[in-house]
Amino acid sequence: MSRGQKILLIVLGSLVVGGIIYLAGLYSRLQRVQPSSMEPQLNNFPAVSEPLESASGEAVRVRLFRISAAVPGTLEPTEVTLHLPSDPAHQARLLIEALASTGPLQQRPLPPSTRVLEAYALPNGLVVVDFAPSLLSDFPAGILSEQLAVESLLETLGANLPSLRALKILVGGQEATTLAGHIDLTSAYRLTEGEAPQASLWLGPH
Amino acid sequence: MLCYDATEVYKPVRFGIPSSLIASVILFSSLALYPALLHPVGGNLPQTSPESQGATRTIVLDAPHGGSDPGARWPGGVTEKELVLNLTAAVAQRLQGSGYRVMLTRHSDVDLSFDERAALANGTPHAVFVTLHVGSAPPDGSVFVFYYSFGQIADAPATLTGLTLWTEAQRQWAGYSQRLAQLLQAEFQRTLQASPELPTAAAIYQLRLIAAPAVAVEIETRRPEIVPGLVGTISETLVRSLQAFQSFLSQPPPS
Repeated sequence: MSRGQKILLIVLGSLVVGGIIYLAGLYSRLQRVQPSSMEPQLNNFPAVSEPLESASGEAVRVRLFRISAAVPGTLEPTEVTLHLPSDPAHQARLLIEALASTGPLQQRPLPPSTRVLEAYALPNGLVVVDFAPSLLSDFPAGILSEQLAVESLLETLGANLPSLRALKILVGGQEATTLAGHIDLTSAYRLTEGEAPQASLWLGPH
Repeated sequence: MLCYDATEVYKPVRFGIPSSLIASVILFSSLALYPALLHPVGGNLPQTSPESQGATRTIVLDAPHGGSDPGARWPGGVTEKELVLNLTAAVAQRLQGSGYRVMLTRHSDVDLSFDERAALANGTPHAVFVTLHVGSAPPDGSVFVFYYSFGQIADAPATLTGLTLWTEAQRQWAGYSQRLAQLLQAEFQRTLQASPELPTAAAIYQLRLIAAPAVAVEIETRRPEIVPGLVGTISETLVRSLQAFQSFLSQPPPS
């Protein structure tokens, strides 16, 4: 073997070793990215799909965040009594259906036709709620309406279900890009634990 | 019959080095360089970074909805897609008169995808993106300004091999967008007093895709006939806010 060939083989060997190290690094980065802490583990947990009327359980006072009549464009908490079972997924479903079906029409953040098909609560605190497709078609158009709806869900679930940390919204069993053309549904949202809306939200004229 | 010896191609061709080895070196060199090719500044978004954003003289003005998507609807068959198409054209004319270069996402009744609208903004250096909406939520006659907030998002940022993913484009611009939204909202509140004082953080999907300062402006009214009368207010508010925004571009964004 000539000297040139030996040099070439050494260079080639170095490239192979470098390539292997790079691929190993790439693989470890993939491993870090893929198992997101909020990733659904749907196979292990049963869905809740019983209708609202079948709910039974302890009567508890809950806070529903509805659209404020006094200060338009904001939410306000209202206390109501609901019979809630012990399962957080079932509780989330009942709270969401109460937001859509109770209270004055103008103050409901969700259309009255809103129906939850299924709800899953995962051990990591993520609740996955699957809405019927009528949610998309019946939703009042506008960024503000959609924003108030999502904010209401986050506030209401956060205020009443401390074991839950995040909400992922599905529509018709699938991920939707937006709620009704504006608000992002491709990601899960952090629940806001019933705190006042974030500082950047309008708190009304003073 | 003319025959070739298959081994001929493997004979040493230069300096005693077999051509197969040369081919291997080229192949491995390409593989080694591949990651570097995928790591340009700004990832796959071929434009300016926040640090290099200079004076903003270009506005990408988005008329949302269109085609089969009417957006909001009012009695009498008035649709948001028509209102915003006329509104953006009129505002663009005013802004051009003030020395701005304006690019409209649509000029006719067509339904563009979120990606198509974002592509126009992301391919335009030193631009700001403003999407103009009309809704019918109370308070009537108000204007709400929105910016994208990743703070509400529970998912971990999706990054891989240093690329900026299309859906993460707004992340590095979020602070600037918030500042622009604050300036716009304050100006709107001065002229249309039913408007809030502070902008609203909202996870608007369209804004998430924009690699530039990006805001959504929504006029709330039950009387769509007032919208054409707001052209002057919106144009002047945009001009004043963008002038004030220039001074922020040289500062680090708020956390």
